[in-house]
Amino acid sequence: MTQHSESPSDVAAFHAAYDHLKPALPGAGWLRELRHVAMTRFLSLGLPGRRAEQWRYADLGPLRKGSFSPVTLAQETEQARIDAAAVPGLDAPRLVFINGRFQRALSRMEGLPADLAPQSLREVLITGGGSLRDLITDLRDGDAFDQLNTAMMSEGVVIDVPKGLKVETPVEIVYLVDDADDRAAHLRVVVRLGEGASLKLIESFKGDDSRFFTNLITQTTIADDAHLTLIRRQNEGAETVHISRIYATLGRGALAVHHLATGGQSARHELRADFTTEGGDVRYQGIQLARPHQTLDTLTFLDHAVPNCTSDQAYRGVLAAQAVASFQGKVLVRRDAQKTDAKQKSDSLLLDRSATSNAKPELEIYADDVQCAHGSTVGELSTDQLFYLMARGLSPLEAKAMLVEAFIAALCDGVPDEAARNAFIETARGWLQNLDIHDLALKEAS
Amino acid sequence: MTHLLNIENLHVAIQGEEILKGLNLKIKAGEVHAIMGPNGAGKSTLASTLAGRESFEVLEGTVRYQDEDLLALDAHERAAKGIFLGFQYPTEIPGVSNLNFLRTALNAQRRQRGEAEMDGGTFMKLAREKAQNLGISIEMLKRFVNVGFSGGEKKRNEMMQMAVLNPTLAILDETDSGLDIDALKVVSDGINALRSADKAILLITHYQRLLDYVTPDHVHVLADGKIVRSGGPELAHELEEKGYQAVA
Repeated sequence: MTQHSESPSDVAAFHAAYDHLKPALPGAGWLRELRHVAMTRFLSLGLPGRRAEQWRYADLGPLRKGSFSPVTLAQETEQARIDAAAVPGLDAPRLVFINGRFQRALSRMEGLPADLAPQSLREVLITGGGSLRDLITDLRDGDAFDQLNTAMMSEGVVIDVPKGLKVETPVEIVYLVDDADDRAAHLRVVVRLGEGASLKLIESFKGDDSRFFTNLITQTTIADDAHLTLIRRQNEGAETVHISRIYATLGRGALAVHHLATGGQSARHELRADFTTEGGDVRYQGIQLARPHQTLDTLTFLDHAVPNCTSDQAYRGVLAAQAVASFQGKVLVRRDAQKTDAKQKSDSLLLDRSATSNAKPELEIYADDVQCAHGSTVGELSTDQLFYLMARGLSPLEAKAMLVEAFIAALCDGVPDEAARNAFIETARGWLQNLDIHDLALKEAS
Repeated sequence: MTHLLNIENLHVAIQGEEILKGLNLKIKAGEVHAIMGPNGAGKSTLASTLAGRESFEVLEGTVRYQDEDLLALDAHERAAKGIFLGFQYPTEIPGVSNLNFLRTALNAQRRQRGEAEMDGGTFMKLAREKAQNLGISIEMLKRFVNVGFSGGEKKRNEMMQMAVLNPTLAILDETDSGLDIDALKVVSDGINALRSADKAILLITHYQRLLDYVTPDHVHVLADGKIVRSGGPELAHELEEKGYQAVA
């Protein structure tokens, strides 16, 4: 350990893991150099502290305490566990990751159009030549987790949707954590849509109670008239630290993100979208359901750099006793971005007054001819509504569950795939069923 | 014959203020009772207390329903045992459809009574039939509970719930207020449809006009937290003519 004494203690374990793994990390030449530079930056940055504005509401405690090494061995996992993690009733091609490793044998590619061939990132990194530089964004100016991801990424998937291809079937990705204490997955998923292409990606994250660290970056480029729909259900295990980022660069295309987060001990979800051409559109609908003593955190950053782009963000958070859930939504409208139409709304429901909800809408507007609106509310269940339901026969728990479901109903209804929509609703119901009446404590004022 | 509902010396406070001050009332199965009284007499307090709203604090007295201590039961348990409160101001519940609400409520009650849940098909048949009787469209049943409903629609929706849940004791808190004459007729028909030898209805009303359509067996005047006079249907007319001041 003495050789790492120059690193802050909270990154020493990651440094050690990197040194140990370095020879086995896929890729050579400039990529090796890129990893080295990223690791050096990571070590000098250290894990962000609470003083960093963007990390005020996050909980990185479990990362500081733990030691997470990337998985090197494949786990034998039963098919039934994978099916249980996937979207029920979704008949679609499926890519499977277990503990951060791509499992070709457990994936199924049938049903994909002939000219759509998802590739394992690991294989691409090993075999790829000069085109890798286009593929891998170096995230030079990114924060510690960007650097860590670049240094350690060894698995992921590359999906290239060629110009004009509208993929009819949804494509599912399952990320399962199975018996992997003190392990980490540094994943990079690359999704590129050519002009006029469209794709619906449905992702499910599920895990057991392993102390695990998921560190995922999804990079996507969406060309003119292309449309990417990303439906993500984050339901990882109770001891997992989850950090996932969607980095989107849009032409005159559209991105729709539908996000449901219930999992992890501490989970952070980010969306960054850069508009580069007039006419780009981003829709974001996010739900966080936080159980007792859990920290869930969402951060969005939409960069309206060019005129005539639209964005619409809706966030809903539900917090049980002692939970922390946060939404920081930034919209930057640069000076040239006239005729921008940007909306943002965040609403949170506290099931108990011991919960902490943070909402920070941030509109930074430098153009003068724009339409920007934002709103934010925090409330409790209505005692009138609860009594109305109970007077009709619903138990207090059933009544609360019905009202919570109603609170997020509009965002669930917005999920543009029936199986995924039902999975959102079922996941929310499962979340409610795991709460007991004390977590939902709400006494009528008397 | 024992009483379906027997209230003795009921004292109830809300936020520390005593509203009901020793109320007595006995209702037998098969009867329709009307409680009339001026604003602030405690009519709605009585209704909410019987339905089990927690913020109403019972200071003294007993309420027996079907020979059981009603006050020991939670609101949802009372509902499962056949008590229905028709709300004066029905609550809006965005995000929950009327049909989902009705079916969930019905099955929640059935589960509590140890009965099998009603399947979707049977439920829809029942809902359609009851809706038709009340002039409620399927469209309205698909809308969120009471959201965007007019005053009359809300009251009709209460009657719809009552018809589906088929209670033993219906307590209707000013169900007639704010209704035009057509809606009043629909609501009255709903109430009359429930009348039977094994059920009872407690009408709480400010005005006599509902009683032109639903003839009560007994009329009581509630003033300052107590029943101050009881009589037959003729008492309602007397109230209408002379006012509460003179009668009470």
